[in-house]
Amino acid sequence: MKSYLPILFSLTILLATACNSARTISGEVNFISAPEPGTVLVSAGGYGPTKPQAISNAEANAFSTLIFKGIPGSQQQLPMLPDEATSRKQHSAYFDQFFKGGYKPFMMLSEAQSAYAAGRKGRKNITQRVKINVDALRRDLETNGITRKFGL
Amino acid sequence: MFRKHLFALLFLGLVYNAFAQDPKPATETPRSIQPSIMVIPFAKENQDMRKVLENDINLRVAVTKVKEGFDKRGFSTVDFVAKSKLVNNDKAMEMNNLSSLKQQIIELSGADIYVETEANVNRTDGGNSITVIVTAYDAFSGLSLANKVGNSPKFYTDNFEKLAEKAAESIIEDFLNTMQSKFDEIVKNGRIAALNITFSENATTDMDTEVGDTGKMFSELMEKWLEENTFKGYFHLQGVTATKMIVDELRLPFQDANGNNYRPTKFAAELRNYLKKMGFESTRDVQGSKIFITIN
Repeated sequence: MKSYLPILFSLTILLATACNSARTISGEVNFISAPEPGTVLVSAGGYGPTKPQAISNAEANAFSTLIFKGIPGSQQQLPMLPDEATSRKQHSAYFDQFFKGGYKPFMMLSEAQSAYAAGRKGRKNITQRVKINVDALRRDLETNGITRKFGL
Repeated sequence: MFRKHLFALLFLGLVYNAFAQDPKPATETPRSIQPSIMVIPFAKENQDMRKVLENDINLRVAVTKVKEGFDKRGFSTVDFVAKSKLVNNDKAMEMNNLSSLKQQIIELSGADIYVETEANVNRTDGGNSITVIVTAYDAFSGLSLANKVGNSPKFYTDNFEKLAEKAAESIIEDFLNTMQSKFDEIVKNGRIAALNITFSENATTDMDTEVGDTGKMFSELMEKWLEENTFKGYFHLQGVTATKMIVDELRLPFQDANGNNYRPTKFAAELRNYLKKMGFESTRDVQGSKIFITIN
């Protein structure tokens, strides 16, 4: 029995680290409105074993969708960075810091739109209303060399 | 034993901090030469653009909002009113052709891209609104860069200036994002240019002349050269006659081998050098991204 313990322990650690739902990128981001010029208000779904993690996941999804996919129905239909894989790889330091909370200065509002509850597949999720300062985000991406300024 | 592990951990920590660096700040690459952009009012065939703008406050609001959009992106536009003052209206009247005034202004402005803006009032029983139409064209090739239609919400109001503002605001970001995606495509796939090759009256050659021992016609040599010297061999031949070759779209590298901006004038110079090697003298005229070569 004792000889199996290290193997069981290692397997448990392996499985726990493999199930990293914080990185889940979901397509559940929908345009609500553009309250002021240069801003966008979206509803974003997020998953997580705890409510704070689900909220962070929802916020990260909102920014990820805006930056890499675009938000249909809004003035940001086109992604700011069309090639997500290349951009994330080339600017890994920036995006690692960004999605770990570096997006907060550009987030004007984050409030719950739904309760934190189990969804269809049993995974706990929440929907947040997230308002983003798109102009400031764009300027930050330009300043850090992630995107080019307007023009050639 | 414990001390040994502690020192090892401390050493590892020091080594990690020594090598862990802040992300390098983005190095600034030299700014590419930017196209000049002019926002102009939409005018019908027999209308004076400047008079149209002066007589329509809603259009002025729409044009201003479009220019403001460019300003917010840090991009300065060419002022239409300032440029139109350079064109002598009397001269245009003497020519008895007001429709050429628009073309004169565009040509004299030196703008590479013009953004045509239109504002139309809609009065209905359910409220009033304004429709703003914004279209961006390359001034020399005519290629469309972005097109958007924006509608203000309907209100029971005669404050059409405010409605024009709302209509323009509803599309300007999307419009600029679309333009930027076209610019990104240009950076990736080359600058767009156009080329016309013609012959002077005294020329003893035309497009159908067989050149030297090559066994090829002049036009065939031109096509081969274009294949080898345009970006990724991309050019579109609109048509060839005995006296003219029209390439309505070709792609030039965005930068040369040294990382400098590759201008249409450089392309024209390279073509002239090639023609000289083949024994043909020529002159060139470059207007923006449109190249005219005349074989003598």
